[in-house]
Amino acid sequence: MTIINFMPVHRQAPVALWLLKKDVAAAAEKIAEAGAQAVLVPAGDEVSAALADALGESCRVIECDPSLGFVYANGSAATKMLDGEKPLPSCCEGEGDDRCLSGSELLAAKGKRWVWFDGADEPVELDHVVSAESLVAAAGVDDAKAVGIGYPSGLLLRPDDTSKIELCSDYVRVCTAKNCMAKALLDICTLYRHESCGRCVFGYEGSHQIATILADICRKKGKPGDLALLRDLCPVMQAQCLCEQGRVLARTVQSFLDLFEGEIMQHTTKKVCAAGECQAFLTFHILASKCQACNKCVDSDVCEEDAILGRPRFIHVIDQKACSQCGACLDICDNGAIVTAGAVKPKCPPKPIPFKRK
Amino acid sequence: MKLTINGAEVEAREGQNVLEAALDAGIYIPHLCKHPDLEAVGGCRLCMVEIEGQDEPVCACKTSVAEGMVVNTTGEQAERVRKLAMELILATHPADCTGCPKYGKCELQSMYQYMGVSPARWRTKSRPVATDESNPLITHMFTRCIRCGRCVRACRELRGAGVLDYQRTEDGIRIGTDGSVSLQEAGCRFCGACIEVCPTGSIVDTLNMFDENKSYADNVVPCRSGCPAHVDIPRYLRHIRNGEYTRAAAVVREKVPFPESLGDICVHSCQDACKRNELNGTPVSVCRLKRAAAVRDTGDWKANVRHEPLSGKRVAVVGAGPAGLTAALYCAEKGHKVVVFEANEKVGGQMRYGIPAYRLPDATVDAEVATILEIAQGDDAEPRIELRCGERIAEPKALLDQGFDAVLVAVGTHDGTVLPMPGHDFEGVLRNTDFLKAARTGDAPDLTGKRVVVLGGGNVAYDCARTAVRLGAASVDVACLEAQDAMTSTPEERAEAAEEGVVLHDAYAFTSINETEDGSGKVGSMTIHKIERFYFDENHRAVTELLDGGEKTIDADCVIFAVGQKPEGTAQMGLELTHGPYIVADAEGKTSVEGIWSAGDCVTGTKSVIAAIAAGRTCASAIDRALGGDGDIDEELTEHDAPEQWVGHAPEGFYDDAVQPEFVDAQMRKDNFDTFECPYTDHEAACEASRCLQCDLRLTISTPRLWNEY
Repeated sequence: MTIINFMPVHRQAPVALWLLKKDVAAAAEKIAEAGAQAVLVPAGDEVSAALADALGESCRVIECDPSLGFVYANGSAATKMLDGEKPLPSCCEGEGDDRCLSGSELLAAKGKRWVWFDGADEPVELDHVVSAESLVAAAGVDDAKAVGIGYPSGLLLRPDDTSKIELCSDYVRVCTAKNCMAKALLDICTLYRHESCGRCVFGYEGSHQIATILADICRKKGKPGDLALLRDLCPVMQAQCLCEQGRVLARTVQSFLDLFEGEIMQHTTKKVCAAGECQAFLTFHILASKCQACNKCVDSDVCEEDAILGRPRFIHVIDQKACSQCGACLDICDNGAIVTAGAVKPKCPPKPIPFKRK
Repeated sequence: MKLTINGAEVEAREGQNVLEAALDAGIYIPHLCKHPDLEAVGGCRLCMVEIEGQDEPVCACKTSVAEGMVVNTTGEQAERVRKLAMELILATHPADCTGCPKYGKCELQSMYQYMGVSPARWRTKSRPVATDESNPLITHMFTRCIRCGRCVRACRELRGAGVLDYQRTEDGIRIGTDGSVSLQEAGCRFCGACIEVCPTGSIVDTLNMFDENKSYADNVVPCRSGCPAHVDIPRYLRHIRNGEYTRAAAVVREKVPFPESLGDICVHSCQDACKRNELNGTPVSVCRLKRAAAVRDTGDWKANVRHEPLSGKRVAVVGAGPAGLTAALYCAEKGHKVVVFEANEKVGGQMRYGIPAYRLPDATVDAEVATILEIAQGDDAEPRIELRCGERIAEPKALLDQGFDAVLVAVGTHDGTVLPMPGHDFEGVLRNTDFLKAARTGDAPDLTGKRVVVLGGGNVAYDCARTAVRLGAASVDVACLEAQDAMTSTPEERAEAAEEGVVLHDAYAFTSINETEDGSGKVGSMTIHKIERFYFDENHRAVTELLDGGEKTIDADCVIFAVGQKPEGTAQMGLELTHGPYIVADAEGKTSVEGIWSAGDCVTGTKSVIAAIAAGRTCASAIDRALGGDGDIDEELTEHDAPEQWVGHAPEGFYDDAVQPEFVDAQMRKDNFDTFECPYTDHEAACEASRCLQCDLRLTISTPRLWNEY
């Protein structure tokens, strides 16, 4: 059984679908050549009818739930859909009798591969063999911190890494100094947890623990032994998950820890999110240089904690001990005096001081 | 095939997996998602083993045995994975084991105690899921679910019902029906396989449905345990569904020798216990199905009847009712010669003289008694049971002196009660027992054009009323103390009688029976008084408060007392009595006199034919033991087939009410004593039998052994 998958594995990177829509007729020809019995497309997408017309009776077009992605790349799961069953994987892709081929691979020119960079409007065509360095160049990012290659590679590379790799994912994200790597990993883990099918303990409970631990870390609730737990769990997950989904997740987590253990650890040990992206680590401040002492921030009662100190004709100050980092005050100031700060804090008076009009 | 597990050489069969081979050899490996009756999946990762020549530990349930394979079940790597898996399972499982209905029987609990694992280093928070009690019979407590998938595999692969599956929800993966519809809407057969295979307390029988004093099997199959004789109901209903009527009748006959009579008149407590009552209110019509089988019985089972060599012992049975004849049969099967003494002209007891012919015709009783005599004799030259009718035994002890080795007194209750109320001795006042017996023997009074009042609210009162209708009464009124919902007669009985013109006066006290105005000494009318309130005071005395102005006088030529009946002549038998004329007997029927047993209504008070039969069986077994036998009277009259496990999706009509047989119209039936309920047709019988939930199917599922059983 051969099935061609046009479902976006990452929702941000619908490469196969994009290629398919560019030329449905040509795609249909290639599908027929590959001898596929079925193709998977998102339910509700208009390409479905057009493709069915082009393919005729030889190949079924199966509409899939677009809230899932990873699972359709697994042949054992995709085959179940032919019988009207749910797509639940029963083994790793490649281990069973049924194959699921990537539509992006099928429609790419020989030696080439289309890649969708995170945030881009459309994919770009690259050589099949790339390096982290060449990917950064292709993405046109200056201050790259890391290169993440999506499913099913699940790798994180240094931006200056020149070793050659075969590109087999539709999705690449180049992280910059602005990106917190703990949060970047949490986002990935949340996605895996959402998709986990629940049939194996390591896949389901493993992704649950990983996502919960990372969420805690990003919410300033990390515990000292957390990364050791992840280091303990991931190798076992890589070997014992029933399908590749949990295994790729474990590889991704290890890959992140290998490169950014320090940055992630800081969240717990120093209570710092260096990139300033994790909301729980942000502090709120009123810039003395911008405050006009209008008292609007106090009068409006926007702060439920009464953490804004001051009265009319005084420079206002946020009491850091009382502030709950809810962010409700950010937009109340007409002068833009209320700001957030990450690792670097602005200088502010410790308590309200009289306002001197300049 | 040989392999080595933990250094010991172990025999295994081709195609087995390592887990099965180890468990068969008595080597325990923890496992959860693998159930002996279900395909292996390898999800729980608890059955990890190390295999020589392989780097990573593997799960034993998914690894086929191979010749010469060397397995280590306790290697460090395997233990590491196993412990980690258990930690992860426990991390999201509720920790309050003691509050769980599965406490002490839970496989997860047993296993983590064996492994000594704690999830403390992980994020421990259970996933709260509201308990779902909206379905009949089955309660879902998925907060305890560990997603082992056994229920899903049992429902889909073992039963073919396809009701349960993994479901994606906002809060993660759950077990449930597609579209979260009710089990019934999803086509559930309520076979209970999911409950049986669930290792935790996630899918359970509705709480408090089970009686703690009963065994698990008795609770799971309540019809069988609800029947006094424990007839294997689900088994014979399967035969009926397959059109195998003789085999069905054989299953019934394994426990009772009157299948057709019971099919006509059984009180069917099995139906009260039927789990379908919880499903849509109407139980499977077990009684009617029994009749359907019995009327089609060809008797092929007769060759399998127990027929032990003659013991040389003799048993006397006093009273040829259902208890006496049942005991006679089983004593005879055990090799004892039996003489049955019957005071009446014919045998049958209440089946013949207490129950009207339109419910149980003579021919049915005659045929079933003939069969008893036939199978008791078997291939002997002489009959094993001798019936002596018209012989009243006043003193059972004398029978022991006459050379009988044991005596069973089963004289029933043939003495109808007359209330000592004004007018009870006028001409035209009758007793239930006399009246019903007279109707059976053809000596009934001519009631043509007469007005009849029956006093009493039980089924016997209705037997009297409907008999009076058939004897040509111009009007028949039933008056009773109880309000309609407290009457002991069945609602069906009352409805059928009403169709025949019987008028009910419920919640009335009996004031007086009045003479005709001319002082003829004959009944002229009956005065009754409406009861406003009826209760028992602090001294447990019945108190009736009458309604002012609630008196009513009904013209009557005949008043029949149907307010109870008791044993006759027991006072002279020399046996210890209780509550007046009732014989004292222990659980096995032994009376105060050595060598004399007693069973049936004369011990228990008026009960039912099936209860009398059950008591007859118990006594037969006890008598056999007393006479040197082993007391084993069980029989296998037809083979025990392994029931089909694949029941499939609920077919159309599965949730419908019971199939109603055809009835003769009230106007057609009210002037004769012919039976008026037609037996089920083949199609009706098959449909009705298909409604059985097959609760017993669950008991065929293997129970995984816990570690302490290895």
